[in-house]
Amino acid sequence: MKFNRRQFTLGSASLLLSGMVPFKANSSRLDNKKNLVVIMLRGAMDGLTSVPYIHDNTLEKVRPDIVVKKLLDLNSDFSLHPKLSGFHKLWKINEASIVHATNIPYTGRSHFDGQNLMESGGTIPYKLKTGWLGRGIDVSGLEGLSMSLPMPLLLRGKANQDNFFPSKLNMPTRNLVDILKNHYSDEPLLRSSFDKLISRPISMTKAPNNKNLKTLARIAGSELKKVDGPRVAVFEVFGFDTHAAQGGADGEHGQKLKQVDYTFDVLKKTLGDTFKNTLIITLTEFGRTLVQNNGYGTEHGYGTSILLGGGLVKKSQVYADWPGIKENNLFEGRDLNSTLDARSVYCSAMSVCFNTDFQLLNKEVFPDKKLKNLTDILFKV
Amino acid sequence: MNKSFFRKVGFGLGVDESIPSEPLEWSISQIEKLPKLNWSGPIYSLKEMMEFHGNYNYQDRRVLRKKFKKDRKAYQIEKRFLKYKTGHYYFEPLWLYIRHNEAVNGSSPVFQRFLHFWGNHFAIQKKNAMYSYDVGPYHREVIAPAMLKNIEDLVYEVTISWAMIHNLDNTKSIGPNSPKAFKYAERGKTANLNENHGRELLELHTVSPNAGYSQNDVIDMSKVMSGWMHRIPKMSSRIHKREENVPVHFIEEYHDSGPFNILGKKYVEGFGTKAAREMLRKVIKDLVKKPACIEFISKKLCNHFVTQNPSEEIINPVIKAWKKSNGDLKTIHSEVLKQAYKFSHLRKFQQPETWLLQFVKMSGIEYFPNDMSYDFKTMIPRNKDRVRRVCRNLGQLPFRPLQPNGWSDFEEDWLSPEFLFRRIGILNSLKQKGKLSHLDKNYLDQIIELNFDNDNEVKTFLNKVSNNEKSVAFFSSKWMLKT
Repeated sequence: MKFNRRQFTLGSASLLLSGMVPFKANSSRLDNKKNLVVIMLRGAMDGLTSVPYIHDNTLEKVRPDIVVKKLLDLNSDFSLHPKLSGFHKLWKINEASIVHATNIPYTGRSHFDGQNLMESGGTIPYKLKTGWLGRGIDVSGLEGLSMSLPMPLLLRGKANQDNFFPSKLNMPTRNLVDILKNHYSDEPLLRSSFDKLISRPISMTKAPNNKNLKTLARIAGSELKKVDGPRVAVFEVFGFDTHAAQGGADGEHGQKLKQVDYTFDVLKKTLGDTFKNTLIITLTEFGRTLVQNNGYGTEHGYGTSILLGGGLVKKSQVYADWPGIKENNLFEGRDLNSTLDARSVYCSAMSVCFNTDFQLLNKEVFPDKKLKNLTDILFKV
Repeated sequence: MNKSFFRKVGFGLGVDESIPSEPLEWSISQIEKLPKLNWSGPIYSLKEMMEFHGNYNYQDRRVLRKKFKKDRKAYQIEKRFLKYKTGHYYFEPLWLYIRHNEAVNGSSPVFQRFLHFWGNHFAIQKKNAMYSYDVGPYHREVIAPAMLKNIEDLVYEVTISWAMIHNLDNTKSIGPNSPKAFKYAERGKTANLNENHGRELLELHTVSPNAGYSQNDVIDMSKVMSGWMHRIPKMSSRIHKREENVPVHFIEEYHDSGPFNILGKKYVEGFGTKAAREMLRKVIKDLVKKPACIEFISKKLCNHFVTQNPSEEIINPVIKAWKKSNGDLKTIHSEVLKQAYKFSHLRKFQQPETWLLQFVKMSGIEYFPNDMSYDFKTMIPRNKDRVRRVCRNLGQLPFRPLQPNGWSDFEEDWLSPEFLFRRIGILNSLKQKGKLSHLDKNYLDQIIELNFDNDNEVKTFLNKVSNNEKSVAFFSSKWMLKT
């Protein structure tokens, strides 16, 4: 894969952001380039904090110290966390929607098993060695590049993807590069990583350090905007595991949601017209308990919400088969239930953004289950 | 001779060292006693670090936030000075340099490798400012001494340590069947558990999900753990200003009285504080005897020291040693070393920090600052903070794993194009600055002869490289990346 037409001038040393995955699109696809941005929310994002149910006063009763106030209006049943103000602006113009009471098919409440499954798209932890996005890339005949130091499981497919995270370091001389290339030839993973590395233009190894989240989102946006530029971006936000000090509007969970909001807001501003061909979607391992604990936090739960933004969103809506949050509605008497396999949303999103048949993606990427095709319901097809 | 063994379980041999005639004995002798500290610079006790952090917390929460409630800019300026005063930016590089010095210049590199392993197994995640104060002394004063005891002692001492109790929020937990919960109920409030620590004790620290525990097991484990917290001082108390920065105690008022059902065994608490306090140790004693725990940790040790995804042939002797010795860590570590020696031909991709320390040791490069003292008044000078920049560039800040399961020990998580570039790029940058000029052919030959059985093959490879790039090529070679 060659990147000679693109000049990367961005930089960050922050590990909090995993970055983006630019695809070199096949020429036939250039006219209809659609962007997919996935934001991984590690630590279990609380769907009832980001999108609280307000139809009754249950949340106020069970979360007296952390219930979020000064909410942003959505509809008569749900509101939005005040730190998601950028997302709310999109909602007002039919460019944001929410899927609620959903999760990947995992009820074990372990972060690490859960994160493995949210990235692999499987049902048995650590069984699959590739990620659902990586497999979707393979099926759709694309190639990827992650802008991160590690290669997230989400992006690993059959083909080895490239990754890049700007630094001030330099490659050695061409002579040494050739010697090392030959030297690594009997180590498959080492060799393929090195091959990817040396196919980069020099500009990719020259960048100032920059830890600013907004800057990274802005740069991701400017790359996604290019006709032959990136087609997919992946961000990671850590720190949603708020067993303590989850807080209300200004608590720890709110601060993390603010970071998510930056991504929506900055991408909207940076992408300009291209935003109409873009879909931004969140992904987390599970939700959190309905009832607060004594540390002003919540415990590991099950059902949560997915935030969707971009011009490819069909309309502002909270899509949910709402199970209720009264005691007898809860999963195992404690968690918001999940009434929709979240993989249906992700499979539908890939189908729309990669111009690839839903059934084919379902079969190749999530073969263990016939998923619900939500492309007509959630997206502009 | 199995010279790769010195890198597999240590950090390799430097040019001023000679090859131990009995490598296995050389390694085993190092895990039998607590090594003498080699570091001659400043070092602080856990108690002192609690005071620094306590001062930081108190001044920030109770003084500055109130004083500058309406002036955010002035608050931020004052907070920066508070951070200087309390060593906020200083302690992480200081503790990293101490850790690296003991690895490179200390008498027991093998002990240090095991300390790095356990420090990562019982990882403290960066959640707030506390990690720069607590991780260093937690490794030195809690984990290191316990490595000479039983696995039960290690798990127990880590579990009730100041660092872990706070990192996994146990101090916020109240047993539903505790005196405190009853007081809450009288006021119409509900007291409940914080499951974070109980869950990770099962999942990450002992039996792993392979044990097939249920949510009820997690809840009961959390009940057993309730009451382990810091004392909550009254406002009038003298230690009030230290906030949560006081030693961990068992406070029965917050402890659930059970009974508890954990992994099929029922635990009924006897009468009195002593019985209540001892319940946690009782449960840990059983957990570390579970086959799932023995297999999980034995495999993890072999994966770290021998090879990725080790076979049963490698793991089984460690499991056997564990069972036979009832979890004696010296015996377990010794068996891991025997397997690493026996299977030293199998290679393992080295984590960035291990590779860095092997490079520092074998190259003899100028790495440690001459003076790590600090004035506690200004920003820490760049040369005293270099260690953090190098580790960040390599992608592994040892004291700041992103999640409580620590840093990955699998090749595929580290061998991305960018991670590979960082190692080569750092070497190239050092070469360009003239820092590797002492690594001439003669020097490199010495390192190779000390550390490689395939010395002729390595030398032949380097013969193809121009003189001024030999050092970059050598430390980027597949033999250095995978040991």
